[in-house]
Amino acid sequence: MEENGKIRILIADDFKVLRDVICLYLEQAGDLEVVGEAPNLKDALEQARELQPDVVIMNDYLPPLDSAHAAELFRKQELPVAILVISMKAEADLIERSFRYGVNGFMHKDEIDDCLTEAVRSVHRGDRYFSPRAREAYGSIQD
Amino acid sequence: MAASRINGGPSFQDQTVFLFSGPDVLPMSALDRLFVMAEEKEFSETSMIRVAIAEDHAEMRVALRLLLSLAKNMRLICEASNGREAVDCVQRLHPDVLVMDIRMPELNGLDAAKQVLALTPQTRVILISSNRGGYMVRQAVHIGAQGFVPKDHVAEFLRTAIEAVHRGETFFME
Repeated sequence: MEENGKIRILIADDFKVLRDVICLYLEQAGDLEVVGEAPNLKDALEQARELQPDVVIMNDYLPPLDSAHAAELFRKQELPVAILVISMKAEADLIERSFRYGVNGFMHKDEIDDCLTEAVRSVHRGDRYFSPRAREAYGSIQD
Repeated sequence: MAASRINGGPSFQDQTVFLFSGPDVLPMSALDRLFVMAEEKEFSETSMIRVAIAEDHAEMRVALRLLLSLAKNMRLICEASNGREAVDCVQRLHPDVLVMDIRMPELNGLDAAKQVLALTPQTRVILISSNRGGYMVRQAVHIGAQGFVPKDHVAEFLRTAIEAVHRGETFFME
């Protein structure tokens, strides 16, 4: 967290328009600050090292890997950042694997308007976050 | 904003906006871009602008929905995923502004816009596309749309474009 108390966020998604809109959306909240954007895994890892964000908002596919394998690389490199995955699918298998490899939160992109700020604050506190649709998809295989 | 756009696209000053007040194309300086000559003065500050979107890419619809939710003076009333649905939506709900992708299945945005403008002339049409440039703008002007915004600049300029066309102005961006 910065001296100004804001949660510092990196947005990692290959879809530029959505990155831009999420950036605008997060700036509406007074306690959140977007410090970087990355369209692929390589850039996301580099920026996570350089900028040391508190939270990475990561698409479920960050070229060339899915969010589970991408999270695994973040954890192997011991980057102390909470990872929140946003997805157009919210499939149980990917949710399960993503959490197993170090993701902290998962949500469907249709839920961004309702849940994103809450999700960011939640994973930043150290909680595990499931959006309603992610929780529903995860269903019977949750721990 | 500056810190959040460290990897952002071209700056405001890099762009060129053209305004159409007849057959002539008038290039504007970047800083003049928002001072668009009004053709009509029908806008009421207190009214919500009723907006419909037509876009076949689900993730782009998410982005458009989220963007419109940030505008306190706009209300999304209809989402269509192809041109045919867009025409149906406009006929049923008469939105103030239709934001429509050009490349869509079943009925593309240009042909759908022609139908919309013929059937419901009070609905203003802004076309959006992954492609950009003078050719795209000329196509949009040719079919009678009131605006064109490249998708790369939707986040930054679409709300301004919606407000402009709702006031009776035009907003074309190369």
